[in-house]
Amino acid sequence: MKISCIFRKKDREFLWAINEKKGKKDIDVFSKLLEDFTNTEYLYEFFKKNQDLLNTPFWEGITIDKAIEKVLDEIYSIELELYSIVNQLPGYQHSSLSDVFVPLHENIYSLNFTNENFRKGKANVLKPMIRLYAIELEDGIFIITGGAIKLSQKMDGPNFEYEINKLNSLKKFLKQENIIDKDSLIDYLNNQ
Amino acid sequence: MKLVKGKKSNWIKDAEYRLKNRKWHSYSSNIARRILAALENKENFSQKKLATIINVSPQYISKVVKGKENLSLETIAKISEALDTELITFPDYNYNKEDNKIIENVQNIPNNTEADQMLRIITLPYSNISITSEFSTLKQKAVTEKMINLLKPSSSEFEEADSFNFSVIKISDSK
Repeated sequence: MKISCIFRKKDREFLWAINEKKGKKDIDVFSKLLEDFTNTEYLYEFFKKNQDLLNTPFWEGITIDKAIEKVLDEIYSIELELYSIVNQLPGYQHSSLSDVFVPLHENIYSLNFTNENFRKGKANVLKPMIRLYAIELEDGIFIITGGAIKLSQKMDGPNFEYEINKLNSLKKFLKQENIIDKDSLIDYLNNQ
Repeated sequence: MKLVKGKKSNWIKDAEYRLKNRKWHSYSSNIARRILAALENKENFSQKKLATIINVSPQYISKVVKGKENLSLETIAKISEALDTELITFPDYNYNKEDNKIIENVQNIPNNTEADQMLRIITLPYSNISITSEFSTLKQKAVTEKMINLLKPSSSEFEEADSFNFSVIKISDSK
């Protein structure tokens, strides 16, 4: 399994992501998700295909146009928040990755970008549509395995099973390679 | 301190680009959505055909519908004519500075729900303000409908255009 370093903050905190194939390219899932979730054609086709789920009480009949707008807004918020943390911009000097990832189950985390600063005037962001999934290796060290557009209240939307499988595969891989912290992960990657 | 060898992700550079160009990316996405919908609604009209008509490569149209292309007004006009669809519309601009200021102030009320804003707009005693608002959810539509019904009997000066189409709400001058 290939793992890429997305960024590090003061050598204490790292954000990593597993790699996946996209066509012939080998790309980290984080970049792949950002590429897809900012691709209007991809989003248009996704929501067209799943339009029935937008009409359920969970999304209260949100239009495809608004759903795309919402995903783009959320991606902007995610990037702005992570960018502010890694560059320690004003207001983020003491923020860490642990502030934006919330536990879902055991050591499986989901990115939480519901910072007040980013949802001002955007009531819809109160119910995020995008989920990014990650495993916390140690404090502040996260490995992103994938993400999905959440279309139903339960975590059983399209592609969710695929995402769970990736989380489990990474857990199995880390155990198998005896990767228990940042240093052992870096050792593994340097010896690849 | 241990550092990992090999290729680093370009995320920081890419993020800077996306954050910096957010505004026109949003415009580009809006146009892309309208192109995709227009292509879908037209029979026998593909991206390839559109490319041929406006004399660009199919790869260029493929980039345009991703909503990440910085389109010129000329290109937008050509696509618009080819598809016989308006890709950009301009709302009536209110040249009265005072009215614009009122609308801006209401929109900037902090920690306010959209419904609260609508209520304040409806009850503002200013004249001749037309507010166009798109409702993103059925719930928002329902809340506004309820507010309109509550206000209607006691506010004879209030009238809604297009009978509950919820796209235009007009407050007429009572003075």
